[in-house]
Amino acid sequence: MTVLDEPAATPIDDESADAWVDVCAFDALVRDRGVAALVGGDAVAVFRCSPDDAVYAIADIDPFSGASVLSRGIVGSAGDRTTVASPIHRQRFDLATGAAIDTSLVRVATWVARVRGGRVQVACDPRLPSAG
Amino acid sequence: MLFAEDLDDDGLIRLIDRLLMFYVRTADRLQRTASWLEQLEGGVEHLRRVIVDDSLGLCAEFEADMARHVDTYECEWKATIEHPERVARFVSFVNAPDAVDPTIVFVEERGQIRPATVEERITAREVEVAIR
Repeated sequence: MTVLDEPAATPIDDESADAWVDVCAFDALVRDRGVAALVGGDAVAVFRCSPDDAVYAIADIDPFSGASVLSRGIVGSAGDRTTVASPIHRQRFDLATGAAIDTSLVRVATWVARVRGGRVQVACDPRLPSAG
Repeated sequence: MLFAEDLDDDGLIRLIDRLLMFYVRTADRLQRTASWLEQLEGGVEHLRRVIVDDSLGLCAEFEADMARHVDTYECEWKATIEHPERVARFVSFVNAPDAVDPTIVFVEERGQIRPATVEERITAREVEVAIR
């Protein structure tokens, strides 16, 4: 259904099952809520967002508190960016880039997420941090 | 002066039900029972007339209100553990229901556990690695 437009920094072989980790059924995701998944040892927060049911995957650990909680955060927006606010101290992160909204100093890792055959999948490897 | 006497259990509970529902109907939002009673015109004597002597003819309504409340009450905790799909929301990771959130670490203090500080969490991991 939804694949992020942004290309992965590392090319992903679509046919290789090894490149993707199964998360859950797409229907199991509640719109504008997150779930946490384990992807290669990393806790990843996966979101299904209004209005187009885009699926995003970012690191679950909130760097400001150290707690694995971003999947329990509040989905919102900042301008045209879709964001999640940490449930601890409410710092916001851009779901597409992982960048903190209120400071340019912090960024959390992001993963490519897609829906295939009604299942949500996350790429095994996070996106490589882009320059700048 | 006693508020009421020679009550059996049912009579006592009925009286409490009437009092609570009178309070619910007439108290300000978030007003505590003590300040409600202080501000009640006619004070305790008025309260006694309303809920013991039924001076306003409202006691049957109060009891019906409480009966409806008791009948429709649902403990959210109990309802949750009785529905597997609700229980499923409480796993740390949707795709690894048995995996434990590694960021949740406790240390012992004075014979009880408490959440570890960031520094203690690092040390705890080092200890864990050393044991392995």
